[in-house]
Amino acid sequence: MKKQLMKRLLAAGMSIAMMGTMVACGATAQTTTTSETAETTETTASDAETTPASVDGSVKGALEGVTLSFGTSGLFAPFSYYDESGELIGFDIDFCNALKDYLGFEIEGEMQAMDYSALATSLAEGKLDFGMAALCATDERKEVMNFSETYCDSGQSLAINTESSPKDLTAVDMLTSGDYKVAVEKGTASHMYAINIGVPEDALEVHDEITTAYESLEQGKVDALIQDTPGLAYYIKTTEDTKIAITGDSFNQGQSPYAIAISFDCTEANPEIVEIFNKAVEELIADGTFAELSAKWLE
Amino acid sequence: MDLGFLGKLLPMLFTGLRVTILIAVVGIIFGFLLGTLAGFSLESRIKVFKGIANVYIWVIRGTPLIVQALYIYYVIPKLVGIDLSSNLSGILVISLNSGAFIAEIVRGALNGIDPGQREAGLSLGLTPAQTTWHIIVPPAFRSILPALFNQFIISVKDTALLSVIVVNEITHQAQNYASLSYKTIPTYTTLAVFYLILISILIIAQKMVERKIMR
Repeated sequence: MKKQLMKRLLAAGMSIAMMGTMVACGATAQTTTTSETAETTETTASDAETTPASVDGSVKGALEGVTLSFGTSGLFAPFSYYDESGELIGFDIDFCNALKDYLGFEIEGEMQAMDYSALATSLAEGKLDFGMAALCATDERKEVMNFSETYCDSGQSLAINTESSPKDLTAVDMLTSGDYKVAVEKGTASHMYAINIGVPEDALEVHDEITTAYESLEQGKVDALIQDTPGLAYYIKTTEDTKIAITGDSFNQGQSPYAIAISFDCTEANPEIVEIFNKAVEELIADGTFAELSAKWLE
Repeated sequence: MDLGFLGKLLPMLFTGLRVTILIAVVGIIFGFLLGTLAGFSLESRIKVFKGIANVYIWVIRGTPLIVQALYIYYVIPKLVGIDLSSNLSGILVISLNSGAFIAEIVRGALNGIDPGQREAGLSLGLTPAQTTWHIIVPPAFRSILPALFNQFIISVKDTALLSVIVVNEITHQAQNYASLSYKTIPTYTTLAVFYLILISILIIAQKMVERKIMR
């Protein structure tokens, strides 16, 4: 009974959270795949923490002389990962460097790579000034950190093992029956989605890292996996002899709005920083830098 | 401070507690059997037994628990072709791990028995096996008991590392909650207190058992 009650509470909480993200999506700079609901929803209180527009003209060089510490995941290709030589690369790394060059700030020490729980905590506690790691601007996160406008918006996909998964598993809604074991990465939009649609607790495997979730699916330890579409597509593309394939359409569009996370402490020290980052993203989209990076990493 | 989050977190921790206790208890039982076997092998005059026990202890002591867990869960099934569930892998890891440390405890206890005792047993006409069972084992068992209980407490805490192979134990449950709610500091504070209470209960039990057996 307790379990049921908790599940219901959790589900209620999640649906509120999801509604919040939709609201946030309505305000995104990207117009590619925003869902219908998001378009009709008015922007409400959730945007109130963004500082009012006070920056005029170009923000090029606006952060000169500022030093910021930066964190990313290092485990989420193609956004942020290590190549064979151990160098941190990816869309977010290039994008961060582009912002750095454009705005003129310095990065304190080195870019720090850590897993998602640690990254979120570091940003929430102000151990990092800002972070980019395909971070979704969810409502829960907005309570503990600031976000820029969305710079990339992906949906999620359902992946199966072409050999071991039940052949009748073709749609993500079927996971709610509890007959299929599904893996997700802890704390991601996919994790929230699985809970939100009501995947039973026993059928959900929550992994610390996406790498072990992929391995579990490769070995048939689970029947399915939910993950952001770009990351999943990249894994399948780059993994030799993979048994993993995407099934069905991308879903949950507009629920993974990737944005730059900025800690409250950093915002306090530089009150206009969210606005400056927003403008910079806008200007980098306008001057084609963004499209160049997308072509390099996401296609 | 708002304590409302406990309403969600505590039931999750108690779900995790069941898994933690299951793995730690079954793990320590098999670990004890394995450790006793390995401990006697270390003291054995048969070189093969001694060698196997030494290699086993060397491998377990030479690798971190988290690596053993990942290896057993992901690599062994590929080599052997038998898939292990995460809980079963967890039990296996805790058994193997505690077994290696218990082996050293057992060896220490056997060494601690005065050789005169064995000689006395043999001179009374008991066979070597009878001597071991009736003369050596009872005092040796009494002397390993505190260390054995200690190893159990270590194993309970070691289960926290099994979250890497998706064992839904206490720490994994807390991480899940923290990663969705972002109430990181309250969650981990609750987790620390939860473990402290759990271990305290075990320590009290340890003292009670010791007092009874030592008397």
